Amino acid sequence: MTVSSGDDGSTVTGVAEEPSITMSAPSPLTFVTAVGDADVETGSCIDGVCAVDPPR
Amino acid sequence: MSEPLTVEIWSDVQCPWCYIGKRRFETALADSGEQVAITYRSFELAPDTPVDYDGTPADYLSDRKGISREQASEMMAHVTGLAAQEGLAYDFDHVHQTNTVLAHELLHLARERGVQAELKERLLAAYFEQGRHVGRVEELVELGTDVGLDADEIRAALADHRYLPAVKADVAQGAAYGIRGVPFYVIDGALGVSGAQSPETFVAALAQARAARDAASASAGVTA
Repeated sequence: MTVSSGDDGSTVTGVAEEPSITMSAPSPLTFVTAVGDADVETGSCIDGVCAVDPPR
Repeated sequence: MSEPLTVEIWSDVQCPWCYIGKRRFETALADSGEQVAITYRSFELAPDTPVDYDGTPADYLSDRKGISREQASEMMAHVTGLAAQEGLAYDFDHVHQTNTVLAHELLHLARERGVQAELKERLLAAYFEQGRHVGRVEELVELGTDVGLDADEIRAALADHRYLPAVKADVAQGAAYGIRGVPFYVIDGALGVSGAQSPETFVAALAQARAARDAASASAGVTA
């Protein structure tokens, strides 16, 4: 499978520059990119708006 | 037997992709046979929304996204179709757009009582399929008791907001990870999966996490 450590074309682009005032900084995540049937529509909700991801 | 992988899922009760993602993740678990310990983390998509929002979901989406109500309705119809493919019967005509912070507080109570997964499913079904108002205390009391929580404890917890710090801690942790949208999955504290992906993607992510866990265990065995 393909693994990237950055923007995979979906909605999350990385680790925040500054940790929260209440939480310790987490270890950076390795982002998993989509595999399998490209016809399966994927999506997410950001800032109260929900949308289909761009086609792969 | 292997120790379960940890899976933290940031999501909101009024996130249509979160319910779709929940079903796809469940499919992935069945397909992979992987053992996981799931924790639902709080993410407020629209914390500024009043409990009694005066409008329809189409009104809300239209205002928020700056599109026409017709376009908003078309988007909701599309996601309704995708949900149907997962066996979900979204009914946006009866959805009550609301503020979900109390629902998140209740999910933390449920976690302490060992019924968080059951409550998450109950809340999503109530919101998207059954036209229930998940922003009001008495509705939440009914939904919480459906999964075995105590009505008086729910009322007390939602009155004094004893779980609000836990909600805010989840939000802060999500922000520290850089999470901007939901659903978002963090597997074993190391892998991030953004969005309601296909079951195949979730299966691959779980396999990757398991391989990393096994490699770490093997390494620890060598160096011990």
